[in-house]
Amino acid sequence: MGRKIIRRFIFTIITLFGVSIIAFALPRLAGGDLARMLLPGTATKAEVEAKRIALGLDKSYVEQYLIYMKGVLHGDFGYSYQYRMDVGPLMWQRFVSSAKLMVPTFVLGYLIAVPLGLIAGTHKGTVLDTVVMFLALVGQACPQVWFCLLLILVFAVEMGWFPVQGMGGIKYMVLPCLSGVLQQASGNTRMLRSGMIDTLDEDYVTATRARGVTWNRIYTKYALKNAILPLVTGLGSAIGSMAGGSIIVESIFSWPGIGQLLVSAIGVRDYALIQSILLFQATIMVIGVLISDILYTVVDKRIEFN
Amino acid sequence: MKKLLCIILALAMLCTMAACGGTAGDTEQTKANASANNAAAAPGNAGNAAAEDQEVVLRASTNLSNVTFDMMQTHQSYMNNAIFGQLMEMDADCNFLPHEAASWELAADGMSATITLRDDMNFSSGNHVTAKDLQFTLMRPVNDRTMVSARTYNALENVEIVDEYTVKLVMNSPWPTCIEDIYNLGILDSADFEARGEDAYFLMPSACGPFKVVEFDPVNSSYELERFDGWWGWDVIDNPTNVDRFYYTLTSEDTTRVSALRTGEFDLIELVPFDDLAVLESEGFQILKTVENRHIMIGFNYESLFGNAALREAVSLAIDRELIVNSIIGVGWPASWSWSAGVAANPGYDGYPHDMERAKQLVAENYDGTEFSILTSSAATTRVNELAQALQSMLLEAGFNVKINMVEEATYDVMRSGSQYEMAIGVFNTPATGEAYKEVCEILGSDIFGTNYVDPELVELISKVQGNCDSENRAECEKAVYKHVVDNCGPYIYLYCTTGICAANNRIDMDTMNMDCTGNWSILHVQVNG
Repeated sequence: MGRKIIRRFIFTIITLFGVSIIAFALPRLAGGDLARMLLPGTATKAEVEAKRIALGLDKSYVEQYLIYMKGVLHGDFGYSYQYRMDVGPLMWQRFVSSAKLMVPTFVLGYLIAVPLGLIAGTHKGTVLDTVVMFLALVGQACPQVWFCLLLILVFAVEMGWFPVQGMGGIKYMVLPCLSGVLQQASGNTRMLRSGMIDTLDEDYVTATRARGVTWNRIYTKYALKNAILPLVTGLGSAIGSMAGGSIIVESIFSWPGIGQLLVSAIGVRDYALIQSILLFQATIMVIGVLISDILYTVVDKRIEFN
Repeated sequence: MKKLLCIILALAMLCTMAACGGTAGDTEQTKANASANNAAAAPGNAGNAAAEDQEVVLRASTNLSNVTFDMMQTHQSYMNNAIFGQLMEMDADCNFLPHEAASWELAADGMSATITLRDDMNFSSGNHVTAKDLQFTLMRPVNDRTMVSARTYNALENVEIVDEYTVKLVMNSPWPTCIEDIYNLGILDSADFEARGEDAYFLMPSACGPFKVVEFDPVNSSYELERFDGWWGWDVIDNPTNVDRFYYTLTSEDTTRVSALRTGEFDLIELVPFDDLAVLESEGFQILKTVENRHIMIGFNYESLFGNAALREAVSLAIDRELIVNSIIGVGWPASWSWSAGVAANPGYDGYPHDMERAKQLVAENYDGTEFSILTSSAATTRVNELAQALQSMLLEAGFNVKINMVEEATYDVMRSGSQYEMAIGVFNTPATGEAYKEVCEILGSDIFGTNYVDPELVELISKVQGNCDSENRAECEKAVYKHVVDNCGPYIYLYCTTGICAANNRIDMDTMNMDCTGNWSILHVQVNG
C-alpha cells in the first residue's frame, strides 16, 4: 500500500509538472501580449517594448518559466498586473467565492440524482421512469446560458423573488445554484438509472430475492453500491470542476468566481494568473481523482487502491 | 397514457421557452420595480439597509472593470472624478471652467504652463491641498515613463512650485494640448501617499473630490462612496448633487445589467444594448443617448492590395454607412468627418458617398481577385459580428473576394500593430472637443495602426500640426490633414460615430447629469429623489 501511495505521488508530481509547462506555453502561443493589453490601444511599439522589459517579458521563455516555478515552490504565484495584486490571495479569494456556489450545486446535484436515478432504475418502463428521464433529458439538453437567462427573467425580473446578480447570502445563491444543479443532476440521474437497470439484471440479485430479501433492501443495500460506481468516477471530475468554477454562471449572475477570473486573465494575457489558476485546477483535479479512487475501495471492497 | 404525458410535458417546455421571448409587457410588478426606491441592500453591503433609508443612494453599473483608482496605471476606470475631482470642468460646448484649478495659462509657445489652485481645498485625510500635491501628482508619470498613462505627459519635463498654490509646468517640447490633456486630472494627497505607500493609498485614497471611498473591492471591481462633507464645492458650486452614497458594481453581462435595472437593484446603468431599449422604455425607464467621441473606422495596410488608392476608394464607395447605422447598429450616425458631428464643424465637406456602381467599376478595373480578410476584434464594438458581415456582404457585391477574420482582442492588437492584415476595423476615441492634435500626431503621424502608409503629402500636412501652438492655425492644419485622409480614402476611412446609451429609473433627474461634450456624465450636480 505504501509503495502504491508513493508511486501515485510521483505520478502526480509528473502530471503537475506537465500541466505547468502547458499552462506556461499555451497563453504565449496564443499570441497577444500582456504589455500591449495593459497599455492604451494607441501605444507605440517603443512603449510596448519598454513595458515588456518592465514586466520581465523580454527574458527567454525558459528563464521566465524557471523564475515562475521557483516562486511557486516557495509559495509565490507571481503578480497579477491586471488586478495589481499578488496572484495567491487573488486566486484564493475567487476560489472561495466559486466554492460557495459549486459545493451546494455539487451536493444538491447528487442528492437529487441519487433518489431520482434509483426511482427510475427500479421502475423501468413505467410512467415514473418516463417522467424522470424526460426531465433529465431536458436538463441535459438545455443550454446553460439559456437556462440562466430564463431563471433571471422569470424568477428575478417577473416574480421578483430573487436578486438578478451579485454575491451575497442564500437569496443570491438560489438561481445560480439552480442552473448548475439542473445539468449536474440530469447527467447523474441518467447514469445511475442505467447502472441500476444493469445491476438489477444480474444473477445475484435474482438469487438474493429468491432468498426472501425485500426489494427495498436489495435496491439500497446491494444494487445501489454497484450502480453508483459510475457516479463515483464522476465525483473526481466534479471535484476538479469545482476548482474551475462555472464561467457561464459566474458571468451571467455576476458572481465573482475563479472561472470568470480565468477568462478575464486569458483576455488580457495575465500570464502569472493564467498559469497559477490552471496549475491550481490541475492540483484539485488530481486530488479529486484520488478521492474517487479511495471511495471506490470503500464502496466496493473487491477493488484495490491502485 | 404514456404518450399523452410526454406530449403534455413537451408543451410545458415550449411554454417555458415562450416565457423568455417578446417584450416584457407592463406588468404591475415590473412597473413597481421601475419606480420604487431600492430598499434592498447592495451586494456585499448587507448591513446598512437601515442607514440607507435616510440617505440618498445611487447605485450604478456598467461593464468597466475598476481595479485601481490610480489613473496613471489604468486606462479604464469609472467615476474617478467623484473621488478626486478634476482641475477644470468642461461644459457641453467644450469650454473649460475653473474647478479645482482657479486659473491657468498656457504659454504661446507651448513650452510652459502655470496652474493656480483654489486655496480652500482639503483632502479627506484632513491635509490641506497645496501646489506640492499637484507637483507630486504631475511628476509621477515623469519619474516613471512606463506607467500606462505616462505617454500623455511625454512633453512634461519638470513641475516647479511658484507659490503655495501655483505650479509651473516646464516642457521638453511644445505641448499645445496641455490643458485638454490634464483638465480631468485628480490631485493626489502627497503626504498621505508617502505615509501609507502607493498600494495602500489607492485602495482607500485620500482625495479632494465630493465623495470619499468607504469600501473598495478591486478583485470584484465594486466600490462604495460616501459624501465627503469637507469638500470645498458644497457651498460654492451651483446645485451640487444631493447623493449621499454611491455604489458601483461591475456587471459584464448586458442582459444581467438590464435585468438588474428592471428589478431595482441598480438605479442607473450604462452601455445599454440597443435591443433592450424598447423594453426599458415601455416600462417607464429614462433613456439617455449620449454623443460619444468614438469612431468606427477601417484602416488599410498599404503593403497589401490596398496600397492602390482606387481599391480603397472602391471599398469606401461600396459601404452604405446609412444602412449600417439604421439597420444594423440602430444608434449613432454615419461618419462624414473624423470627429463627432456638431463639434468642430467640418469645412462643408459632404463626407463619404455611397456609389455601388462606381465601386464595381473600380473593382473591375483594378482588382486581381486576391482574397483578403477583414480583421476585427470580437470585442471591438457593439454588434461587431453583424457589422463585419454587413461589410463583407457589401464588398462581395462590389466584386471583392473577402472573408472575415475575427479574433480576440489580444491577438487583434498584435496583428494590427504588426501590420498582419489587409483591412482592419478599428475604434478610435476621436476628440469631441475638436482638438485632433493627438490623433494627427500620434495615430496618424506615428502610424500606430500599422498601415505602413506612404504619402509624402500627408506627412507634410502632419508636420504643420506637430508643435503648432497657434490654436486657430493648428485647427486649420488639422482639418487639412483630415480632408486629405477623407479625399484619399486612406490610410483610414471612417464608418460611423457611436452613441452611448444610459438608462435610469425615475429617481434620477437625468437633466442634472451634466453631460460634457465627450459624452461623459458627472455626479457633481446629479439630483436623485430620495
